[in-house]
Amino acid sequence: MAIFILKRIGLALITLWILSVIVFFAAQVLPGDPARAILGPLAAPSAVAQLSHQLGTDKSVIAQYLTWIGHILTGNLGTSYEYQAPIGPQLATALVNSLKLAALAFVVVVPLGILAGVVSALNQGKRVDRVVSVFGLTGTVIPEVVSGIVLILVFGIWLNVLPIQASTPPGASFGTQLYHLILPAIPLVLILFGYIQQMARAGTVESLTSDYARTATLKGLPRGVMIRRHVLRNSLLPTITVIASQTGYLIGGLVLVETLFHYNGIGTLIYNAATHKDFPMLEVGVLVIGALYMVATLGADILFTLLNPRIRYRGVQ
Amino acid sequence: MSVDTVPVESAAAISAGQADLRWDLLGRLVRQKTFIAGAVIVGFWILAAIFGNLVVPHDPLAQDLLNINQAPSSAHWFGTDQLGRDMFSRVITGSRDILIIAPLGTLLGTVVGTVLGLVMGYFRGPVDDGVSRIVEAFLALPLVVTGMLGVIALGPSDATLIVVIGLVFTPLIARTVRAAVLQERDLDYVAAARLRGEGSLYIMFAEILPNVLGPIMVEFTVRLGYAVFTLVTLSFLGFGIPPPSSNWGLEIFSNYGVLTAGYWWEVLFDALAIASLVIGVNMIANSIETTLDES
Repeated sequence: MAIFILKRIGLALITLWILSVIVFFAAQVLPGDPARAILGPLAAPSAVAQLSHQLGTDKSVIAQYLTWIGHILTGNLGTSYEYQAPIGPQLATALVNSLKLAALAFVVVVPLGILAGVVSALNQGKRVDRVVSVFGLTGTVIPEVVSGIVLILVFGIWLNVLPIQASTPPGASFGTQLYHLILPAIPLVLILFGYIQQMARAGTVESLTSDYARTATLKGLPRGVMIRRHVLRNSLLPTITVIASQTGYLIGGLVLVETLFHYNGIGTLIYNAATHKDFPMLEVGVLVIGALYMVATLGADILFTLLNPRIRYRGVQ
Repeated sequence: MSVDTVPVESAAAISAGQADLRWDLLGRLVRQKTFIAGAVIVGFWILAAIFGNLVVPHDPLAQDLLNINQAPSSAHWFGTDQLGRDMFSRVITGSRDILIIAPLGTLLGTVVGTVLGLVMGYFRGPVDDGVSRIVEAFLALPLVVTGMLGVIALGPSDATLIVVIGLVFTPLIARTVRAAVLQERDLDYVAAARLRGEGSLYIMFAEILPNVLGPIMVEFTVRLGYAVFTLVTLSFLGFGIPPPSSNWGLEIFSNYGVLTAGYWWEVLFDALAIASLVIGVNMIANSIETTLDES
């Protein structure tokens, strides 16, 4: 068990390192001279050379990479080109904000998705199942731009019942913050709902047709008890992994939703850094979401192992 | 007796049997209601992309500064935008760039991903481990973020978007193909080919590939839906197809600022067009998957 977890952590670290190389090369090397990009096409060559020296971009690519990764590993995330300020504090604020939005989406979508999946499975092939499944599948494929725009139009402008600005003034109460996050959370919920519903449905259908479910029925257990005690415990296991693996989609969704609803989170941070060619900020932001994804999938794997007696016991032996 | 003279069912009979099977699958596919509905929607947008310019009531690029931000009327069915351009004409022709870039990008990703997946699944070992790590690294990033990085690295153009979509999909498709190859590689026909002395390349592409085409086809159509999704999202973020082309994502990007002024028609029809196209593509993908699952 411990060996399994250590091995998974080791692999995640290697993957993260590869990601850092990809990110560094995509943002720092391929787009050309950062000093030229900052100063613009009209700046004097001497000024560009001076800034290059100041930024360290006149050194060899490998030396630049080593300096950069060395700083990050020692906790120095660097300075933003755009704000001329340390990246760390901005990143922290953005992460906390995104976490609030993501948490709201998860708190809504996880129980809802599981419930809908179980209901679909219990009514397999009936109208309820078809309606819920078609709704779920449609939700997962429609881009957040589309759902976001429609929501803004209907609830923000026509009915005028929900705010379309997700940001709240500093010091706003929990309730106010929540109120402003309702609309932005819905596109994320729509994207995730279908996956969770389908996974919970498949898991429940499988355990409903299993031998142990039949045994439970045949020994005279009431259907409700049989479902609660035997079916749900087994059917929800794969759903946990799916929920964690959706973190990637969720963060991708955040980029769009935060931009659309003007919310200061990790998504807008990366988006702004990308549009303003603020490469240090962009690199760190992308690395952080990569790391978050890896932590989430690792956590899911470990949780899955802990909850699954078959793997747990084999691990002990 | 050499291997060549061992009597087997004639090659012609075998390929005829395969052709029958394919026609049978195709027949079952086109009889599905989901497939027909999806094909009608996607077909409509393909026709609009090819012939749209010829049939729309106005030139989609013609500005009319005396008639800006007009609400839908009999003259302008979907209203006009901030430059007085006819929204109906822009929505109808707005599928063109998306329907060129998305399939080409998906095709690129499918071809490269298939080759990579075949190599990973067939050779396993260090090749597989090494490529798997890189694949994992790419999968750790959301499509939109990889897309933005790609556009920053290579500069915005149609070719960049095709490469970026191909690049983003390659690891996903490689993973699916790899899994399918792993199931095939230990089957008898592969062992037989190896005993006949066939080379690795021949076995991968002539023996295994035809047997994993099903999952690849499903993957292609599913990814096509995501390609449209990604392209529209990138365009909305300003990292997509550059103006003055009237693609739906860019259209929403340019006009969503005036939503609060009440000019809903400048974004809503584009949004609905996007929704219809992705739903259509996914209906086709679902019906292909169902047909292959049943057989």
